[in-house]
Amino acid sequence: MALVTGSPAGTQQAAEDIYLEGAPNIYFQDYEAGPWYAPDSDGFYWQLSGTATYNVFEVGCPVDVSLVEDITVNDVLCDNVGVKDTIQQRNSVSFNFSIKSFFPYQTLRHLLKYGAVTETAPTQKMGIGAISSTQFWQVYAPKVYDQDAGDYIWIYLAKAKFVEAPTVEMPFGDAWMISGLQLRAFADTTKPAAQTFGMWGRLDPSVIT
Amino acid sequence: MDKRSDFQYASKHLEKKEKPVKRKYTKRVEEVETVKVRLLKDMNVNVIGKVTGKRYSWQGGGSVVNVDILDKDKLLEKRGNPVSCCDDVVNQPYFELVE
Repeated sequence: MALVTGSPAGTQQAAEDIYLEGAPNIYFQDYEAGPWYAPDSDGFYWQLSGTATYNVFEVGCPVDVSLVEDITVNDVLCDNVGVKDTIQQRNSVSFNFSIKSFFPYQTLRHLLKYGAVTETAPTQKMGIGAISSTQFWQVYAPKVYDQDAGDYIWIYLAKAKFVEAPTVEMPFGDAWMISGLQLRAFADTTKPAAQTFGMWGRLDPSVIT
Repeated sequence: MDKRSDFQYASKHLEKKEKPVKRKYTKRVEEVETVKVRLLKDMNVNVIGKVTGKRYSWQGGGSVVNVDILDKDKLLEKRGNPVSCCDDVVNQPYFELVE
């Protein structure tokens, strides 16, 4: 429908009538494994590939998922004319979420920053001790928005760490939940300047032809 | 033959007689056929072999242990909980055979 006021002249980029709903699946893997595409034919670094040494872990039943940026913003204020500009610096990008799936322990222990899991059937044990400061993860979060056509987007974070202190909530009559989880991506200087924190991708053959 | 020569002869004779006979012994060693099995999970795993009762220990994902071939099949069948919460990924086995 054309606007009665008339559209702006010249080349336009119209907004698509496609909407995303719900949380993505979130997977993480040891940073040391490196991305599957390093880089791909377009020069982008992304995707995980699990190995025996570097498993890919799925974040089970995530809720309240949000992607948050930490950007330092400072106005360039000139006392004689006012704000002439704003200087911005990206500090980090974080997935904030809670989860309701506690098992298996070999995934949970990374979310809570616990020790290695030892299994002797029928038991599994993990210790609560010092937190490793050298453990980093790469993160892959795909979101399918058309299941039939197989259209999806994905977010890849290059070098992240579980930060903040989570809370294990144990309510009566409701599922246990770990809230306050934050997977914060830092600048990975081994990646190109335009991808130090990661990248977004989209696959949609009907639109991107 | 004087006395001394008699003695020498006798002792030589005796030595010869008392020399132990060399016998051939065959040492019986039970040879166990083993295979190398790699842990695919990010954890330490201790398993008692279902057939032999031997104890095996893997220290971390990717670690390899020699396993009695009699215990191999049961080990390779070992899986975690097959029910996935959020996608249709089938729960993968704990171990794989190292070729």
